[in-house]
Amino acid sequence: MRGLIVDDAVFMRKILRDIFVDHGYEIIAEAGDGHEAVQAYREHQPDFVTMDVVMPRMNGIEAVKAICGEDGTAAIVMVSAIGQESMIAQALDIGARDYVVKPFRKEDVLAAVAGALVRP
Amino acid sequence: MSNEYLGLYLEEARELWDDGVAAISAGGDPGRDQFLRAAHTVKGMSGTMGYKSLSAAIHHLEDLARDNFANPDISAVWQAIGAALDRAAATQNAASLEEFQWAPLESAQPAPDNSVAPDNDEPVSKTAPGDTGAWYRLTPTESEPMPAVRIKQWRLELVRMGFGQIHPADDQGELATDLQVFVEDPVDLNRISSLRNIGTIAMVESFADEAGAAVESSPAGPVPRTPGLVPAPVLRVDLRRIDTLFDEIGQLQTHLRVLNSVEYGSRSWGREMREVQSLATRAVHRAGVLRLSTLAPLMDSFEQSAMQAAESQGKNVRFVRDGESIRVAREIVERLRPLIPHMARNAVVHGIEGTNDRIAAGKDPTGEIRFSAVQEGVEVRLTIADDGGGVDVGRLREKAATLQIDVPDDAAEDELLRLLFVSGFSTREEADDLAGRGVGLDAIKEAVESAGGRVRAEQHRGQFFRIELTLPVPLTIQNVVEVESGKASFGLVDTGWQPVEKVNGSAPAVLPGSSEAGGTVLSDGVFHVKVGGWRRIPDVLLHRLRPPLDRIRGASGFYLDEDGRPKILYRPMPEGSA
Repeated sequence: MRGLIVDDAVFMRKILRDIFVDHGYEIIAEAGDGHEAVQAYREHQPDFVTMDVVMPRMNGIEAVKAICGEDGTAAIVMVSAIGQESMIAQALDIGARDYVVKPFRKEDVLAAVAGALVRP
Repeated sequence: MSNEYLGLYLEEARELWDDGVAAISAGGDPGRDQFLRAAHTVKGMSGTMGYKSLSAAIHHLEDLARDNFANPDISAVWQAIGAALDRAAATQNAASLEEFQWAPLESAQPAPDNSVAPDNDEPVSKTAPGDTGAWYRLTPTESEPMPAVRIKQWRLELVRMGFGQIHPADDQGELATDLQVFVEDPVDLNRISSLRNIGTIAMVESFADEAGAAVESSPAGPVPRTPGLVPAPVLRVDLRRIDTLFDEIGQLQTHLRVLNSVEYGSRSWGREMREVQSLATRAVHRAGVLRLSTLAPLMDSFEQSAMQAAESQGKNVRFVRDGESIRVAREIVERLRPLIPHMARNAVVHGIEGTNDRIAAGKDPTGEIRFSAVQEGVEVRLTIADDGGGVDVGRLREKAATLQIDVPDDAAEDELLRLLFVSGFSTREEADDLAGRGVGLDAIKEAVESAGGRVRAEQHRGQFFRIELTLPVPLTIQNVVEVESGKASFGLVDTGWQPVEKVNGSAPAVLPGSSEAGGTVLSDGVFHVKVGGWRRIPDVLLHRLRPPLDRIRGASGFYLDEDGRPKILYRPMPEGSA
């Protein structure tokens, strides 16, 4: 399974990448904002995406909207620090499949992605 | 969180902190937005590093900034955070971040608020700090158009408020219709209170009030935690198959209607009755197929991951698969699928030795990984085996000791291997062969056991290591060869039966009714049987035999033929076997 990690913090991308790679997933691209995320999604067509909410230029909600507009089957899991409830609910409304709240346990992230991958 | 990430954290947090300082001096709405973005990111990173107090402080700052960005306290707390970051960078030690001291600022605390209790004459029973705890059940109002989304929102909000134990209340997973909140112990209550300075119980009630939720508390002590944490399995099925099924059910309904309107026992009645039986049988078969999946998706995924791992590790690995057409419950395939790449990687990375080691041990330089499945009655056994060196059980024992897991001194090898399935026993942080071998096996065990199956590992040190997953099959589809024996007919599990001119070795078993002159000899290469007539029937839905029929030797179950007549399915067995 090939994933795209979207987060404006290099640190968070590294943590997430390590979790996925350690568990047999492949990370094919990373993006630091919504614009990069949409571009990377088009280019790599990943099997799943982890998406931060608060990011410069284009935020995670707009990115989810753009990606799901192009690919209704996109498996996107929102990964956000607490305090962004309404935005996450919005993301779930427009097509994100699940969410994880930072700080997360790696099991939570893996479970959310695994769940997103099997959902229709 | 290991030190490995500290450097990266400090570097990035410091940059974001600088952004925050610039934003505070810029002021105004753009400044506030920039500050919130920087603060939010540092909060997430800090939480991830385990700096709970620091993370909580930043969360508090976000509240302050949203309320009034001109509040001078914001700058003061932000400076304190900067100092802690500097200290950590100077000493390369996270103590200043781990023990970050802060207290909610007076200006941020809501005034003690008595209006938060709902205007209800019979308030829900309250659990005071010091009690063990209580459950609260929150339910969206009936007018709520999207209860599941609302519940997700609530859950997040409650997490933000500091509640730890929040679960969908029923067994519907994603489609939960209410939420349970557990108000835990005094320690947690204090923690929550320090953040909000209002009573915890009032918090739940006021939250419910504001959210428009109906709230009900557990009447006597904690209600048991529901098993609702596992989302209800969702199956992916080909829409065309469902359409075909519905089409047949529609036809069934039409024939039943006709059946009701014709004279009982008439010729028309007989014709309609046969049609109904045939349609009903087909519908049951189709429903069964929808419920099941072959093992091919798992084996494909395994092979792909194993080969990738072999390439990146520079190991020569041969992958052998067997039994992929066996069908098991579709949901177990879907639950196992995300976990399979990990098992494949483990087998290659931690199972198969390097080429030189293999040669030195007198083994084939190319390692072999075999993923096979066999059906045994109503169970399917998956075996994932590698011909690597296996696991050092002595080290398993040592590891168990360090984790204070009780292992009897005389524990047998397979008992020790069971440790690999214990959650938390193996961690990637240790990244050695022993630890790596078990990573993810706890999840596999959970998935298999939740489907009513079981797992085990076994090995022959130096020779092989294998993991067996035994899965119950809710219903079984089998390819059948139906044979005639006089007036009777029954099924044989299709193990590749072919008509043959003559057989070598043992004489064929001759079934009654297949005379010496007529009849056909069928052979599957092992067994030979002489029958009166035969035909292949693919995809037959097998039912369990109930006592005492389940004691018939060699009988795997029964199926219904097109006319709805039950027929026993046999799996030929050698003489003398059980």
